[in-house]
Amino acid sequence: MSAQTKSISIKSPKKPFKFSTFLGEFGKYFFLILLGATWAFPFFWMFTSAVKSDTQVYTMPPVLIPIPAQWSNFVNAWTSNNFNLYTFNTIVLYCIPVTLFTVVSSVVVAYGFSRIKWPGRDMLFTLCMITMMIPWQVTLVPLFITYKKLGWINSYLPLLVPALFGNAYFIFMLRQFFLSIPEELSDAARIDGANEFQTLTQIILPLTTPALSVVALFRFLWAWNDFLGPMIYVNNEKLFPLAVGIYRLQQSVNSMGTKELAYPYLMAVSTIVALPIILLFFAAQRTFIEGISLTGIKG
Amino acid sequence: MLEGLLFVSPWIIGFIGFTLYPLIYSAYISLTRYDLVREPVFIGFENYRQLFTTDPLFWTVIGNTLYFVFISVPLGLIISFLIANLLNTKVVGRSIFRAILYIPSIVPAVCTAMVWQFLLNVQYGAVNGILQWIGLPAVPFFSSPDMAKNSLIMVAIWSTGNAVVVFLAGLQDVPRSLYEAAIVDGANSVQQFFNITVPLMTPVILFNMLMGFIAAFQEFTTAFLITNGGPMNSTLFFAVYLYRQAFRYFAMGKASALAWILFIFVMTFTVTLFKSSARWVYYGGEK
Repeated sequence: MSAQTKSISIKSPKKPFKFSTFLGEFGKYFFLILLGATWAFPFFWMFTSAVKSDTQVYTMPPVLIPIPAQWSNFVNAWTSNNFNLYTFNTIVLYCIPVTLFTVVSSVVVAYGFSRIKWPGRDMLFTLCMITMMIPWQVTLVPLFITYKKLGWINSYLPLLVPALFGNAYFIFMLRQFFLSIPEELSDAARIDGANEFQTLTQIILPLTTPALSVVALFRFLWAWNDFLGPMIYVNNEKLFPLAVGIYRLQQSVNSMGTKELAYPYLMAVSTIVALPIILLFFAAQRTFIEGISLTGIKG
Repeated sequence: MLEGLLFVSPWIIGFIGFTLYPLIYSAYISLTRYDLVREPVFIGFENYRQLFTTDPLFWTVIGNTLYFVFISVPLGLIISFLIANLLNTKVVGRSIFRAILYIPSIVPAVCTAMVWQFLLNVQYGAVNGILQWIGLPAVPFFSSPDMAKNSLIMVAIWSTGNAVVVFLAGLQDVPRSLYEAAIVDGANSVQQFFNITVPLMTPVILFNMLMGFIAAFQEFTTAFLITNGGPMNSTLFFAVYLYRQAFRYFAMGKASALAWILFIFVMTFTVTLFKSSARWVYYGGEK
């Protein structure tokens, strides 16, 4: 008796089997898996091509999984060019300083745009937002000329110095976070005699560490990925970042035609440079998703 | 007052130094002939006149850019919106699908450009290998002027995964009660989609549309690395042409004139889009 009621109570919330629902579900997953496979295929191809031999590259129909895999391509591609140096340049000369500068300056400016009331604030903030719409090409030529006169070409200064003055996109993002903190907290700090700078560092920042990591993460990523900036300003091979290093490798491949192992090497280096970003995404997935969802939704 | 200004002052200095001053300077250079070596020579609107009348590539560049922008952005928006809606249903492994779609938009464009160039190569690319294997003719994805733009559009759509993430976040904010009420009223899923989902998502659609258009007008890296304007100038987009004028021919005046044309065009377009949004974007009941 009791066993019977139990089995009924489990079964009843289940919907009756409907063929159309089953078909819909099947179709949905079939489509999603196909979509996912298509989307991921370039990465699969990048990785498998990286460990191919020349014969495996040029065989038709294409070899999906190279057996045997030529793992030595990774080491050889990396060391046959100066990629260790390029990695150092990318991280130490570009990513770290630009991230640091952007976070500090954007925090300070965003604070002035959100937690202090003053006349003209909102007008200036609107202006700040409008600057995001200016194409980079418009300021490219005059800035290049100016940096040339200052002797900044062939250094990272043209890419680092502007970061000291805040970035409109991150100012916007941080302002959104700062506005979500109750005004009473700032009032209480002020009553206790804290000045604005102390309020920022002791009250606001501890509450917005997730926002800071979003900014830092995205800025680091942009610098890691940046190709155009270094290509314009950094022409000294000793200073190349990874992106320009790959471009130079591609150029040498194209100019020499089908050089030995040209494509596997190009794919091997691309894999090594893309991999940290993919790993970073999985390690900080929530920060990524929150960051881009926030700018899109609350804007 | 003073404290507020003090906090904002880095941005004000940066705005003057890295935006306002270069803007004015760039407007001036666009009225000169300047090759970085000799002193700039003032020539009035000659650069603009030449671009619009005698430059053999200008209208090609405009055509290429408009083709790329007005196909890749709407198509990308529709595709990412539909995918986001699909992922917003009950899906096992949603975060894995989201990750797969999103990752192409964050890995270095240099790396993805290399792999696409290889993947779509007419002789030994994997895609053509598969096509030929099943008995279809090879497609000259990047080597034919008719196909190259479309292939770059394909790559652009492949890397718009961040729009999917933004749409998905927006969809999760749509109140479930609205759908429940619609079901009670007997609305089917197509009606729910067009009468609830789409109207409530219009602010997010506008955001993604603006971001998409602004980025597409300035498309550079992928086009530069894969086709570099070719074949037969079929992928010579605005930014690539401008870069070529500035850093290959050192025609700084002409490059600046191009930049201003782009600037005015993008501004007008953005403002128009923004103004039109009052008619089609729904902001939570306030009218």
